[in-house]
Amino acid sequence: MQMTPPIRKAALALHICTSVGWIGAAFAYLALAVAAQVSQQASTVYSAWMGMELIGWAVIVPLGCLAFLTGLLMSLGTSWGLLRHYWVLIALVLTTLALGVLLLHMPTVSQTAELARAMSEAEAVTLGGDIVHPAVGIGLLIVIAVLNIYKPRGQTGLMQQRPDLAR
Amino acid sequence: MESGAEQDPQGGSTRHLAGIPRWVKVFVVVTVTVLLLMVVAMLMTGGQHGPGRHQSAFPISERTAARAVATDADLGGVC
Repeated sequence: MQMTPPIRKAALALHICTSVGWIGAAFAYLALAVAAQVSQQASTVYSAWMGMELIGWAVIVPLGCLAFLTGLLMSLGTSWGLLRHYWVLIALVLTTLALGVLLLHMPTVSQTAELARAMSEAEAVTLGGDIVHPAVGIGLLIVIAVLNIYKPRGQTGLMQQRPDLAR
Repeated sequence: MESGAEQDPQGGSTRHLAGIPRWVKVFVVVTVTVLLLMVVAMLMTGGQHGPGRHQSAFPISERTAARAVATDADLGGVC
């Protein structure tokens, strides 16, 4: 089912806002993770882990879910389709991977934040940060954004191209 | 990149046959290489990562675990 132009533009605006917001929130998370990793002050490590838990659950997870859902909507509601073009298919796979790892990883972040609350100052400064996950996630999200902007050509052949919807 | 296109005998429209674009091949090679490097890096640094780690408890000392339980009890198990 094709969306009408006004609905398509609204869905596109929502998709762009949530996707870019996801990247921005991931950068904020990375900043806190680096602070937790390098700081020698227990209060900074506590605060960083509290902030990572809060940003993760309150911002990154909702934005990630919304970006994924609006991406599905944009694919299925336009001529691009979900499996028709390589760039859409690759973006779908990478987004699913990023969201899946995020949802699996966030309980660990909560657990670590809870442990940080119970630790002494000496233990807290040895807790470290969580740099690899946000760094790899940001890399993935940037690749997805580049694919969305450039839309490199190439059709998968998995779905028949409708002549009336040809690019 | 659509060198696999051929003329449809039924009419003038083109039909795209299977032909993976070069950028997709390059992308797959780069992705597989990066993944392999990450696996090697993880193995060299102790290999304590993987899908299972996300579902398991964070490695903690007994003392810290006891404190976490005490904190959880203080909070009424809300967290």
